[in-house]
Amino acid sequence: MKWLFKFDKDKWQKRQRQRQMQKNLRSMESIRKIKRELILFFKRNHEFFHVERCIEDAAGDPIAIQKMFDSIPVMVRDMMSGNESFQLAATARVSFLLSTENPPIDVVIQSGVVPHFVRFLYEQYGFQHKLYSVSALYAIGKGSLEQAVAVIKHGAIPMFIRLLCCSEECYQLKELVAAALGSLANQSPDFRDYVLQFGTLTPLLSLLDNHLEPPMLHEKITLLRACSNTLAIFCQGNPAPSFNQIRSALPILRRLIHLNPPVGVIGDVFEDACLCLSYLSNGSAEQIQALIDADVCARLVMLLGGFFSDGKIVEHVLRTVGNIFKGVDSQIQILINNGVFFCFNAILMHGSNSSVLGKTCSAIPTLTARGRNQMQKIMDAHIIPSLLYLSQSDNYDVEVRWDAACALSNAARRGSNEQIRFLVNQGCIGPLCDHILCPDRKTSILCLKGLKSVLKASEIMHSTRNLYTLIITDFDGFGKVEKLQSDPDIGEMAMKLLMKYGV
Amino acid sequence: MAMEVTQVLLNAQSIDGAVRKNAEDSLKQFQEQNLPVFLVSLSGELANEEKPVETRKLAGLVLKNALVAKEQHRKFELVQRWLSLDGNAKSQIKACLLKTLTSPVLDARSTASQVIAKVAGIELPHKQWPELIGSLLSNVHQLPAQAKQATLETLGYLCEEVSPDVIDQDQVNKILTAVVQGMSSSEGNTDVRLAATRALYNALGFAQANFSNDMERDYIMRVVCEATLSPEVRIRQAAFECLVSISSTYYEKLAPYIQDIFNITAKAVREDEEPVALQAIEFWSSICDEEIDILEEYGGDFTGDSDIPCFYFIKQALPALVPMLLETLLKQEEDQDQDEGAWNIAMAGGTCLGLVARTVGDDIVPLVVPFIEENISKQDWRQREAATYAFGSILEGPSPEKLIPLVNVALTFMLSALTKDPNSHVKDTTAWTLGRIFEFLHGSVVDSPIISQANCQQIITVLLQSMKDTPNVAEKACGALYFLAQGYEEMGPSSPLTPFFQEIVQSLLTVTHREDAGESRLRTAAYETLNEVVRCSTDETAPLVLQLVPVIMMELHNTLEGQKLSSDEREKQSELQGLLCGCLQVIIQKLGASEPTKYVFMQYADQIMGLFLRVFACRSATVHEEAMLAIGALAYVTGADFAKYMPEFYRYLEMGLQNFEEYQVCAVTVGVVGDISRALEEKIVPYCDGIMTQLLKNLSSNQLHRSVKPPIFSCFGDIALAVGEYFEKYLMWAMSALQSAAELSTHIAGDDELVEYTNSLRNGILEAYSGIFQGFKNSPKTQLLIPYAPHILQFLDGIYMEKDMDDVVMKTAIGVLGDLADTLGSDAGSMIQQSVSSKDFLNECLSSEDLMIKESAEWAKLAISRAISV
Repeated sequence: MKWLFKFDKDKWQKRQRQRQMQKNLRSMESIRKIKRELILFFKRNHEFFHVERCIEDAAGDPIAIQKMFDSIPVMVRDMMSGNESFQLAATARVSFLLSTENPPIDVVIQSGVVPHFVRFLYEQYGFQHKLYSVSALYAIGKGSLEQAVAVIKHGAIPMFIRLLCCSEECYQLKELVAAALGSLANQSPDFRDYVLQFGTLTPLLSLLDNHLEPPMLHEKITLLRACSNTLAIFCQGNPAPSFNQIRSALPILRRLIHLNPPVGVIGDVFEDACLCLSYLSNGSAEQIQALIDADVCARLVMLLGGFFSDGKIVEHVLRTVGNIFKGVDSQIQILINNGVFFCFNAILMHGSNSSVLGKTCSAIPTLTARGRNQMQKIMDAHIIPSLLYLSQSDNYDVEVRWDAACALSNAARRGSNEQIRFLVNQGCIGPLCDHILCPDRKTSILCLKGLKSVLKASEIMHSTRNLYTLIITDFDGFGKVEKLQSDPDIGEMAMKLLMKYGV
Repeated sequence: MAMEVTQVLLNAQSIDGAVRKNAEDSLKQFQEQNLPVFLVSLSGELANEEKPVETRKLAGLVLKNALVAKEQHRKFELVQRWLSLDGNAKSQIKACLLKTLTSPVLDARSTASQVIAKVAGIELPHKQWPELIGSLLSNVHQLPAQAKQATLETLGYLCEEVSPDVIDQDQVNKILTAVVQGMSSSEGNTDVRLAATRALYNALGFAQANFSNDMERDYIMRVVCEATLSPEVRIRQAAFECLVSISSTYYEKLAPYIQDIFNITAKAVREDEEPVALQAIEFWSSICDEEIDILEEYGGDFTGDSDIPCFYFIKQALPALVPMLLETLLKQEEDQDQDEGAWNIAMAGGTCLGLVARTVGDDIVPLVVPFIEENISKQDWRQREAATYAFGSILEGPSPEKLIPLVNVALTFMLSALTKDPNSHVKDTTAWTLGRIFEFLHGSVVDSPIISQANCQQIITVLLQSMKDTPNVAEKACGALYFLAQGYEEMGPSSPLTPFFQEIVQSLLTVTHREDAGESRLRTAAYETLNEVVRCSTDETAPLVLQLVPVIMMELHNTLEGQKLSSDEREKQSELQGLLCGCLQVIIQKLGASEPTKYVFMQYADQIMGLFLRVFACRSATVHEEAMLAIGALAYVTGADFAKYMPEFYRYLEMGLQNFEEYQVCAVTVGVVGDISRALEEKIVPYCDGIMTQLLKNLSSNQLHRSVKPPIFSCFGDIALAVGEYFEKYLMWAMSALQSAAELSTHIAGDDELVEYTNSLRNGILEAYSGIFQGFKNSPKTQLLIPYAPHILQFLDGIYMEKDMDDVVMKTAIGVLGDLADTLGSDAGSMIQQSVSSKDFLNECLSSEDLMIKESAEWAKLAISRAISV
């Protein structure tokens, strides 16, 4: 017969009796369960956990890339699934494939995943996921015009703007987004205007604005660079963007051209800003006035004094200065007041970069074309001797000599008699004659026209004898002009000149 | 054909060892040479009235032992042997057995009863011996009292031996009629009435139909209640045992009788002899048990999902029941607290009171508080102890809101009683009550803490001081500290115990060194508490836990020093090693859980492993479970570095796996194989042949306890995950073992326990499949798995159709579907699409409210869509 009690006073005690082993066993069992599930989880999500290594291994391995390419349908399926890990892994793979040498952009577009890339930019997706998606969209946006249409069509731009605006400090992502926007805008002026029309400029500018002070400046410099580059793309193109759409960039640009020192990546940002200004200055007097009101002129002129500026920057500034020279007198005067001629002289006398020298020479005719008043200012600034020196110097590329000669002949062409006398006294006939047979047609023509202008002035000033013919003869000027007689374009002009003034 | 066995049987009971040995050998020889004749001879001896009673009894016993054995596999063999025995011999034996029931010799009758029941236990399920019950009952009324007693006893044993579905209702009716008639007060013979009452106890499980019939039930209940009033104490006791059994088996039928039963039990508790009174209390404990289960199933949301409604018997009886139970508390025995096996009315009453509190909750409090107040300060220790015991008993059940005001008042009193009360019983119960307070009313579950910074210091001082008290009090103090520490688990980065940590640990270690620590399981309690204190400790005390490592290592080292131990000493040594290994396991897990402490701990790893190996070496035949488990924990901490221990450890691992007699040892070792697989990953390869061979051997053995099978299958999965495609070597064997187990586990018919087991088996099988698929994934050998896919899908479909899997199996099963698709890819696409699992089952899981199932199903859905997209 059973003598069984279900209860003890110390049910409590009984429980305790087996507690040690039981508890230890239970704790091991729960650890085992967790570990087993964890391992299974890692294996099941192998794609996800190994995606970075897999991509690393595949990079530069055509067979692995081909294999990955073949599994694009699975990736597409993964991206359409509800499993974020797999979506992420697939996005990463596709994004990697798009970064390879022959990106399968059309295959990817046709598989219909572009909308998914756009979808993955919503808040609920992780940073990595967004990064891979933007990178994929960036790659597609860099493709042909038709391919870039796919990106725009599925609403990527508003999402890009949301990402630029988001309060999180996801710099890497924002950098990529800025670049992607730039690549889209770079497709065509229409694309550029389309991108701008979403109000893209404002977040781009505020990103620049927020990261311009140290230590951000140095830590996030690549982000700045991407933004400045995109900004430059926004400013350029033919037809140019509507000035009103981009003029709000001016205050930031002013700050950018004050960055110091403009070397390395900071130099690149700096250069982008100068490039932007050169585009923005290429327009009406109102446009130029906006630049002046933004208070950039003093700095620009200082940059020309450029012991620190590299050639590119000076070239952009020279282009800007040249554009402002096309403005009204008061605008030009601001540059002059800031010492633009002093800088010109410094460049012409001490400069070593041929391209800069050439651009400087080329800026001068813009001004001489503005009338004798402006020309007089150039003469007063002692620029002529510098040009004369350059036009004859062997120290630079031949083009530099030509550009200098062009500047001189332009001056001669436009100058008053007095001004021409001044030029002749300074010795400008020699260079004109030297370059009259220049292989560069433009230089050759200008020199011929310059000589003609000099001879004409002399005729008026010296009623008895055309004194300047003697000087020209000394330089064998007529001999050279003779050789131009057979030229189909200017042969007639040369012939007339010889007939009228020839000795 | 029978042979004379009397002399041999006599010799087998000789006091002369040589003679005895000789006789045992010849019995064995006889049995091996000619089993039928041997068994017939034994039954003849049993039936022969001329033989001495000792040889008749022994003959019956040897016969019985030829039919049953304890070990599962041996039992199975004996059943097969009996079933295939010569029919003639069996008839002869049965005839002898039945004849013996009419013997005037009580021992012979009683032995025959038992043997008949064993034979019936084998034959009735095979539809053999159909005439047995008929022949037992045919003339039961005309029999002389002795034979009647033997017949009823036989029926009782028979009911104990066979399951209810084996006997048809007609025969059940006849059995019950005979039994109940034998029990009735009209039966003049006490032995007959007692045998009938005991038989009813076993037959109650057969009486489902009869209890559904009002007339029959009324009759049975009346007879049982009458029997509780018998002048014979054994009959009263047996009758109350019947009532206890009825209370759990036929709870829902009790309403008409409960008032009468209360009266009967109350009288018995107050007036009857202890064995009867204990059963009377047990009746109410059993009712509590039923109602607690039912109310738990109600789950508080009163939808009444339970099949059986709650009749609230306890709630209704409360005003009378509680005073009755409180009275019993005053009937303590002297020195009951020193005797671990002690059981008396006071203890039974307190236990029942505790169950009543759990059943009715707050309602019990006002009924008990006056008793406590009245008695807690009395001169007589019995009153103080009873009051404390009453308080301790009602701490589980009522709401904290109700109890906390009481506890706040009582706590100071209790702490002072624990130090100052002159009586050891009172201190013992006080310490126990403090433990209950901390268990149920302390910790994150309670809104208003009963322990403040102010009294924490005092509590700890008192408890640590009580650890120096007598072993039973010290043991309860350890228990209280255990729950105190547990309550501070997950309390954040800082624990109120931190300032006392060092002192607590030191006190506990001192307790373990007490001369009398072996009494009242004091040493065990001290180590358990130490473990809990360590387990619930925070980062603040991590350096102190680290300091504990060499201390416990030294203790373990000391157990290895003893030479030439007696078996008793060896047992004690092994127990102590168990405690120390368990303690090290807790420390290893604690320190392994965070990187900085793990790093520092690693310096001890070699030495600890060395100690564990020496613990193993203390025994020759079997391995030490606790050491094995601790090694599993160590493996997680060392990771792949564990490889350096494998050459030495492997033999013990193998020894553990081979030990299916002690199946727990085998199960623990199987688990550790999993731990080591995860730690070593492919470095386990050199040992895989041995491990897999042994595991497969275990599975094919019918001696292996069934509970070890699911872990073995899970272990296949663990190994496959660790070694990947290298598993190819074992694939065929493992898959075949899995397949046959899968077929067995698809359909279940049986009780809850079997359903539960089957689900754990399914889970093991499924974990193996998942492990194998994921292990092979991305290898060039996935093709090898394709031939097994149809069966696996069929298995998944099968268990889905059965509709009886639990949530864990569901989650694992749908995961396997995903793993299959994931690994086999397009090769299995169409196969998967044709399966029920990929449609209905998957959809059901996708819409499951269980997040784990849902997540698993999402994975499967994805994996399938990938498989069919290429």
